[in-house]
Amino acid sequence: MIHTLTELREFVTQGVLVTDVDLNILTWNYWLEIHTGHPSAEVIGRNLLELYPELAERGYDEVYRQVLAGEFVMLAHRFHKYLLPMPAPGAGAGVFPYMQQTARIAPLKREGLVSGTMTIIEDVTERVAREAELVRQVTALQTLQEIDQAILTLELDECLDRIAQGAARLADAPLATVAIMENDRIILAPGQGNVPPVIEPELLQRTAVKRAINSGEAVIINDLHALPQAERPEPLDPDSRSLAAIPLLVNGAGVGALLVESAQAGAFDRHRQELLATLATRAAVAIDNARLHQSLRRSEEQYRQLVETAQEGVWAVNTRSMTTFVNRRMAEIVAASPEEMVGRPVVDYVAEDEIEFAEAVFRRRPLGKPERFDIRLKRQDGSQVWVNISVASLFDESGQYVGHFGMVNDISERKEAEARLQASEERLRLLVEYLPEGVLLLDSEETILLANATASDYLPLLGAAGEIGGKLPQLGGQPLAEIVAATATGGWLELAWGGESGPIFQVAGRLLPAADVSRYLLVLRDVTHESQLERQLRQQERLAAVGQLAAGIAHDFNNIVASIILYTELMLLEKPPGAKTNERLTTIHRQAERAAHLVRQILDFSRQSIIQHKPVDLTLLVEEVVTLLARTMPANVRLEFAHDNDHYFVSGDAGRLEQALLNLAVNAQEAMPEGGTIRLGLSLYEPEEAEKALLPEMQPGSWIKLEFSDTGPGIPAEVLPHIFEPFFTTKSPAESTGLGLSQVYGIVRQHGGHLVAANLPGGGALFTIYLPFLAVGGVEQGLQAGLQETPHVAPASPPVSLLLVEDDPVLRQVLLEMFSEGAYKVLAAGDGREALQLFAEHGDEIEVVLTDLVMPDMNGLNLYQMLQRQAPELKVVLMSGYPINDETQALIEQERLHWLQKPFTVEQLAEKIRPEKE
Amino acid sequence: MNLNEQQLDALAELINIAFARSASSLSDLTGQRITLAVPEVKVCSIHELGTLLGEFVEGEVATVQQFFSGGVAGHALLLLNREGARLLTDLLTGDTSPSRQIDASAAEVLTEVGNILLNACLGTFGNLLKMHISFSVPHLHLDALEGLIRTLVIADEEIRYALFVYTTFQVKDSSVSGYLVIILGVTSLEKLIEATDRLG
Repeated sequence: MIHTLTELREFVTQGVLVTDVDLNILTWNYWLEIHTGHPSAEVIGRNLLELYPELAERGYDEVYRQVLAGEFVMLAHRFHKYLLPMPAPGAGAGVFPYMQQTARIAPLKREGLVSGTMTIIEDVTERVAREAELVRQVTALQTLQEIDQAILTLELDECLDRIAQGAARLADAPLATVAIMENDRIILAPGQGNVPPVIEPELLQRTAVKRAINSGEAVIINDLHALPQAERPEPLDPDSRSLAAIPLLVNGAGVGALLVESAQAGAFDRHRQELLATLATRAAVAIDNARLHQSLRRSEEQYRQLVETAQEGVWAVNTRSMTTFVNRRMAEIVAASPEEMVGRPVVDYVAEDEIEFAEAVFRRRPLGKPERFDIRLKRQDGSQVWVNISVASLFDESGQYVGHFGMVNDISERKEAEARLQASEERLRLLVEYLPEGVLLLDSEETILLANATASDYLPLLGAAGEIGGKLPQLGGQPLAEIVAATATGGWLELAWGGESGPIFQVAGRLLPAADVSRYLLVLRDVTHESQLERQLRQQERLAAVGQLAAGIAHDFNNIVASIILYTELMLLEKPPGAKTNERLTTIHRQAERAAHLVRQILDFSRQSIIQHKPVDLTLLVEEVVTLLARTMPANVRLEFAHDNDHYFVSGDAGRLEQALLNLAVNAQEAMPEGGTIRLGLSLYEPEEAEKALLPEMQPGSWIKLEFSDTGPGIPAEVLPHIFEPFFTTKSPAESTGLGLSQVYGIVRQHGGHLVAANLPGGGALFTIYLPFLAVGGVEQGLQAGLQETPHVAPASPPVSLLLVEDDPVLRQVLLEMFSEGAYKVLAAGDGREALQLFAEHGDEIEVVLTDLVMPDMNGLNLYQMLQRQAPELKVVLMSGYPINDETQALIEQERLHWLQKPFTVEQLAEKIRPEKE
Repeated sequence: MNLNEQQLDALAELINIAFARSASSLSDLTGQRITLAVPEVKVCSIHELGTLLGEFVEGEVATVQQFFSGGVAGHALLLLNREGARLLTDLLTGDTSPSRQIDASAAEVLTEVGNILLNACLGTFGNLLKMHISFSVPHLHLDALEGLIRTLVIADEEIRYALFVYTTFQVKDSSVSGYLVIILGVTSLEKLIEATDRLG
C-alpha cells in the first residue's frame, strides 16, 4: 500500500512534499528532485522552513500553521506565483524568473489528529504562458474589432485618425499615422505622437512610406541603427529605433501607408506585424469607403444644391404616397415649408376634386411609366394652384418600387391666360356664329376653313355647298377669284341666284395676309327683303311723283272743266232738245265729265282726294256693289260674295271705296272677255308679330281683308310689279287710260290700307285689300253723325240768298249765270275782301256763302274764319279743284265746312248749297 | 425551524467576525484594501433555497464548495454569478485587461478566495462549538443554477437547513455580491443555535 503510494508520488507530474507536524520533510518526490535540483536523499529529514528560508520571509510559515490547525489551503498562482523557487521550464524560461506554481496544502491526519502536512505543487508555467498568449490574442482581436468599429466612420479625416490611433494601440507604439498620397505630396493624419501634417516632396523618397506604397510590401525595420546610413529610411521622429510602414492597398494599388514608429528596437515582432497587416487591410477598405462616401457626398451636395436652387418644385414620395422630400421651390408653390410637408400624405396638398385622379396616378406608379399632367394643388391657405407635374418612379437595385418623385411647375399664369384666351375665343366664336351675316374663311386653295351658321344657311341658296373643309369655287354662279377681285377694294358685290324671285345677296371680301398663307374672309348679307322694299319704295316714289304732277295741274284743270260742264249744262237747258246741237253739247258734256273723272282718278291715286271719313259697313257696301254689278255686268260673268254675315266696319268714304270695287270689277271683266266668275270675300285678318314680313308696312292688329278675284288668265309676272303704276296698261290707249288700278291703290292707301295683287295658283288674279278694322265705339259715333245728315235731300224751293266768292272771272260768270236760272239771290265777290264788305252790307240776308278755296290775298279758309266770328251759324261751302290741306280737311270732317269738288255739276252744286235750316 | 431575531443577530455577529478575518487575509494576499460588508443572515429550508437563489442569479453560477465534518457536518459554498466571479477575479488580481472567460488561473483564484472565506466561517463555528471540524478539498464548479440546486437538494435522511448569508466584496470602488451558503442537518443547526444562545 505504502509502496504503491510511493510509486504514485513518483509517477505524478506534480511535486509532492510531505512533512511531519514540525515541518520536517518526509517525502520529496522525483518531480521535486528534478525541478529543485535537490535529491530526495539530501532533503529528507530536513526542516522545510530551514531548507527554504524564504518561505517564512514570504509568510508561508503562517500558511503551514493554518494547515497544521486542520485547514486546507489553496495557493493560486495568480496570487502567489510560486511556493518553492524553481527554474522556469521550457519556453517559459525566458519569460518567467521562476517556475509558475499552484499549490494545495492539506493536513495529514492520523486518528483524528493532525500528523503532518502534504503539499502538492503543480507547474503552471506553460499554462500561464498560454493563458497570457490567449489574453493577448483576445485583446488584440478585441482591439482590432474596436478599431474596425471605429474606422467604420465615413468621415475620411476621422477615419484616418482612428486608424492611426488603432495602429498605435495594436503596436503599443508612441507614434503612428496614416500617410495618404496626394499628387506628389504625402498627407499625414494627426494620429498618435508628434506627426507633421505633410511629408514634403524633397523628403518623400527617403521615407519608408514611399517605399511601402511603391512596392506594395510592408517595410519593417526593428533596429534603424543596425542599418547603414544609406539604407536607413528617414523616421518622422529622429529618436525612433523601430519603424513599420504597411501599404494600404485598394484593388492592388497603394493609396497610402500605415506608419508606426517606436523608440525601442525590436518593437515589431511577428505578432505585431500580423496585427498591423490585418489592420492595414481593413483600413484600406475603410479609407476607400470614406473616400467613396466623400465623393458621393460631394456629388450629393451638388445634387442637393441643384435641387434646392431649381426653378421647378421637386417632390419625392414613398410607396405609401407620403412626402419624403421637397425642395424649397416646391414648398413655395403650396405656400408651406419643407418641414411641414415632409411626412405628410401627398393628397393633403391636392385639390379635393383632383384626389381621385392623383390616387389613380399613385396606383400606376409601380409600373414605372413616366407621366406628365396638369393638376390643381391645394395650398396651405386653402387656395388652389395649377401645376404641371412630370412623375417618374424610383426603384432599388433589386428592381423593387420604392417611391416616385415629381418635377412640379407652377402654371397658374399659363392656365389663366389660356382661360382668358378661351373665353375671348368663345366670345368671338359666338359673335361670328350668331352674326346675322354669313362669315366664311377660306384659304388660298378655296377651301372653307370656317363657316358660321348664317353662312351655312346662305351657301345652298347661292348654289354652293357649305361643308367646312370643302371647296368653294364659285358663289352665285361667279367664280370665287372674281368675287375676291371685285371686292378687293372694299364695297359690296350683289349676287343673285334662282332668277327674278330668287334671293339676292351682297358679298364683301377681304384678303387676310399672313406670313405663311393668305386667307380670304367673305361676308354674306341677304338683301332679298331690302331689295324688294327698295323696289317698292322706288315704285311708290314714282307713283308719288306722278300724283304730285297731277295734283299740280288739277286746280286749273278743274276750273277749266267746271266752266265747260256748267256752260254745257246751261246750253242744254236753254236749247230745245232733239236738235243736232243738243247732241253735240251732250258729247261735250260727257267728255268734260270724263276729263273730270280722269283728274279725280289721278287725285285718288295720288291720295290727294278729299276723303270724308265715316263708319262704313263694308259688308253692306260690298253687297250693294255686287247688286249693282249684277245689273251692269254681262251675263257670262258670275258674281260670288262670301262672308260670314258679320258686319265689318271701316272708317272711310263709302263713295271712294265703292269706286275702288267698281274699278276692280271693270279690270276683272276686261280680263275675262269670254266670261267667268268674280269672287268677293270678307274676313277678319289679325296678323301676328312674326307675319309682319308678309306685308312689311302692316302693323299688327285687326284688319278687314277684302279679297277680289277673277278666273281670267292672271297677271303676267313681268306686269305684276307695275300694275298699280298710273298710265301703265297692257291695252291700247284708246281702250284704257291705265288709271283704274292706280286709283284703287290710291283709295286703299288713303284709307290707311294695303293692296296686294297676286296670281291664284289655278289661274286668275287676286287682289287683296286690307283695311283697318274700326272698333265698335267708332262705329256708333259715326252712325249717329250719319243719321243726322240723311234727311237733306229735297231740292230747294224758296229762293236762297247766296254770296259767291270766286277769283276766276270765267267761272264766276258761269256760276252767276247758273244761279240766275234758278231760285237764287246771288251776290258775287272777286276776292275775300270784297266778300267781307258785301257780307257787312247784306249779312242779314245771306244764307249761304259759296267760296273758292284757292284765292290770292285771302283764301277761302281765311274768309270762312272771318265770317265765322260774325255769324257762327252761317253755312259756308268751299269749292276747290285743288287738293286741300289738313286743317281744311279737319274742318270738313267736323262738318263745319262744306266741300264741293271742282268740277261739279249743277245737281251737285244745288245739293251742296241748300241751306241748313228752313 | 424558525430562529428568533436574537439568534439571527448572534449568528450574524459570528459571521461578521469570520468575514473580518477573511477580509484581512484577502487584503494581505492582494495588497489591496478589501472589505466584506456586514452580512444579512437568513435560515431557510433547503427546499426554499432554489427560490431564494433564483431571485439573485440566473443562468450559470460559479461556486466554491467544501464539505466539512466533525462536531457539525455539512456543505459550505460561496456562490457568485458568472459575471461576478469574473469581475472578482479581475479586481483581486489587479488585472487591467478584463478577461472574457474564467480560465484555469482564474478558477484557482476563486477557489483560494472561497477557501479563505469558508475556512474563516467554519473555523469560527468550530471555535464556538469547541469542536474540531475537518474540511475537504475546495472545488470550483461552474454550473447552471438549476443543476447546482439539484445536487444540493438530493434527499437525505435528515431534514436540512441552509444558512444563507448575503455577501458583498468591496475592492477599491467596485463591489461584487454573492452568497455564502452553509447547509446543515437539523442536528448540526440545533447545536450551532444552542452554542450561539450560550454566547448571548
